[in-house]
Amino acid sequence: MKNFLTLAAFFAVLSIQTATAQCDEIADQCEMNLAKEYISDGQFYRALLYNDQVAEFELSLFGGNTYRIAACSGMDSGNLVFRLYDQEHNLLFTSSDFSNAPYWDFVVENTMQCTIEAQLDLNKQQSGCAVLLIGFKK
Amino acid sequence: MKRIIYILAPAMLSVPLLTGCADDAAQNAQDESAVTVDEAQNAVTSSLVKIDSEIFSLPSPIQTAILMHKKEISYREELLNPLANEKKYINQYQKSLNMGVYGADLAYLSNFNNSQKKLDYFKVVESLATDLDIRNNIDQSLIDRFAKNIDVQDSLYKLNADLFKAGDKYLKQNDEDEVATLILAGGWVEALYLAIDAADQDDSFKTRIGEQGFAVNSLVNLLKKHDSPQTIELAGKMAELSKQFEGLVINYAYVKPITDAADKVTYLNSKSNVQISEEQLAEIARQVTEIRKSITQ
Repeated sequence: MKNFLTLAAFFAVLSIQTATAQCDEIADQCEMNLAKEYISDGQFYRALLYNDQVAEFELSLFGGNTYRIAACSGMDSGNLVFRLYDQEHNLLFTSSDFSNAPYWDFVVENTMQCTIEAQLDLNKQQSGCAVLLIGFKK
Repeated sequence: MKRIIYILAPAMLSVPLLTGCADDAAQNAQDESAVTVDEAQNAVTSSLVKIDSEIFSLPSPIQTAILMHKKEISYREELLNPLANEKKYINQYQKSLNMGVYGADLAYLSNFNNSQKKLDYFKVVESLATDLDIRNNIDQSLIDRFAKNIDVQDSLYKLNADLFKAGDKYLKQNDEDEVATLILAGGWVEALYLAIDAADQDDSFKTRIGEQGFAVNSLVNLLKKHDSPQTIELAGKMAELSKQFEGLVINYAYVKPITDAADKVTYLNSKSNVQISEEQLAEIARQVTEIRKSITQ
């Protein structure tokens, strides 16, 4: 049993290492989800996820704006689930309802303080670098 | 075998994790994996483990510039950080903050017709990016497009955003998170400074200023991750500023969103408003002006 656990830890380390190396590539790929009409917020969000870990991102969405959130992990789209909550933790959106869509647009009526939770779809990927990009329309 | 893991894990991880996507989460993973097998097993079986809950987004100065354009805010050159100040910035702390400041000024300038001024401010941003070792790691074609599109407002907004995103990406990939945070901080302070002035021309900016309370808290949290004396001092000033926002009344009412799956869009219909008195605005303005002065002079 001990040997099995040791091996499990070994491979966990190895998979994290591989995921780390892929971070840059994923970022480049994810940028393609921010279409031309979206202006980047100038920031690059990422977190290294293993198994069922959840990365949490805080952001303000300003009223009167349309935002695009792009979320990626791995070189195939749909490996990452992202959920958007408001400041009272009401679930506003989850990409899992839409085949883990790699991007989604949000039309914001009034300013909201939101939280994004990002988590790997364990059916597709066990570890990896989660990249989030946010853009807004002029 | 357990001993082998102790020896191998740090050695295996040290190079790639330090040169790649070495954020706090990776560091945590490294630490955890090298401790004990039992802990590794716990990590595997745990449920909804939240990692690094301190990833914060700051509003882009370009959003403020776009709002100014929509509200037809008039140009006031005296608001800009003078180009001549650049030579005062001799260390990494000053250069980082003021790269953000000048970037926000460039976003503001995008709204007006003054090609030479825009080019001059772009050159200062580029110069500071060079000093911070960012410039050589940004795609040359992005830089080239600035000169070609200096009078195309939409392109200039986008190029400015892309430049700062490329810089942010490079810095985070190379464990220069403090520089990345200071650039963001400088841009946020300058954009707020410009918005405060615009509030004299259009009331909608009072609301936008009041809505920055969440952002200033994010900024405090981002700055507090770093331990250089100047950054700690700046975090203290931002924490003082955040107290002013705590006094504002913010009303929020959840309304169920509507999703259009075909167009991949969700309409967030919740209601909110912020109440800010003239006195509160004046105190926020006073503190922001002081902080901005400490950054630019």
